[in-house]
Amino acid sequence: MNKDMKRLCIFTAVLLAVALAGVSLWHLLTPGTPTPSDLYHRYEHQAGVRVGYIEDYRFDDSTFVDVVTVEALDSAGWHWMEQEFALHEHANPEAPAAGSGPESVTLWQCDDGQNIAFCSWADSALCLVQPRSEREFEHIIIYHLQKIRQ
Amino acid sequence: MKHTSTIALAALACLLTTACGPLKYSAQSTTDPKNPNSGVSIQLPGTAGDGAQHTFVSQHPEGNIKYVVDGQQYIGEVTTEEDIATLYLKILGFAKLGHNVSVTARDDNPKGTKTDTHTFTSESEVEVASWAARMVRKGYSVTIEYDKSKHTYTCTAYKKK
Repeated sequence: MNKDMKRLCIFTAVLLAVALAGVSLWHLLTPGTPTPSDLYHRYEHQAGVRVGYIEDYRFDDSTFVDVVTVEALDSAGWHWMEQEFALHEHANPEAPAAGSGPESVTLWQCDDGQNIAFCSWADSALCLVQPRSEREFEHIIIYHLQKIRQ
Repeated sequence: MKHTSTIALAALACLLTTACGPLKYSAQSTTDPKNPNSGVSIQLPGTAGDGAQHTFVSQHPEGNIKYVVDGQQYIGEVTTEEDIATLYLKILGFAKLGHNVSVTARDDNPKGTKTDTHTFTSESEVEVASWAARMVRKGYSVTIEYDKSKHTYTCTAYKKK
């Protein structure tokens, strides 16, 4: 009986080790969605921009999400942002004069499928967030709506 | 005819680029960070106030001419053959002034890529947020503007077809 138990334990341990190794390998080989922290470290030393990272930023009483902000400090920084975030792709081509005032915000889903970019053209700034649910996403949008309304 | 004139002008620009010697001026090139729709403004030092500031609208990457002035890439918006000719003449002007210029790409769709656009207007932040979130998840870029006089949000969602 003890021998059987020992075998079962060894078998279970080997099974767990193989599963763990498989998961680790999968994580290593599959490029995952960059977290806000990853994005911050990617851009923190970029010249011409100010990059910020706020952990658990409070959008409202029930929405706390990590945020990365990228703000152009000069025209070179803005040019880099235009290239890095393909800003021209997201500026409304149908309304050249619109969407650039202080009472506007543009948002889109980044290529990674998870991060959402909010661009304030008037402030030359981007805010990158990764909402965990649609409810959170909508609350973050409402936060931005209240900002442009002020 | 369209392609011939484009190719001829591009060839001329490239020829001038090659012929350009060392830089005689250092161009200060800026895109107004406060207004991304303002295009690219290039101010030549020593010429301020004499009308030598050149501004190219550069909002749309599609249907445009990409060019490089002193290592900085710009996109000139063109919708007609006259636009193309005018833009190339300006680029050639830079070359004549000693700037290192080159034309790097010419999109064959001068009228630009068509976009799929939807609009939505509401006073309700909840409705706007719900609509915007749904459109963003569908791959649209959404611009939301607030009209202070009407107290309404106008949303425009667009993506390239």
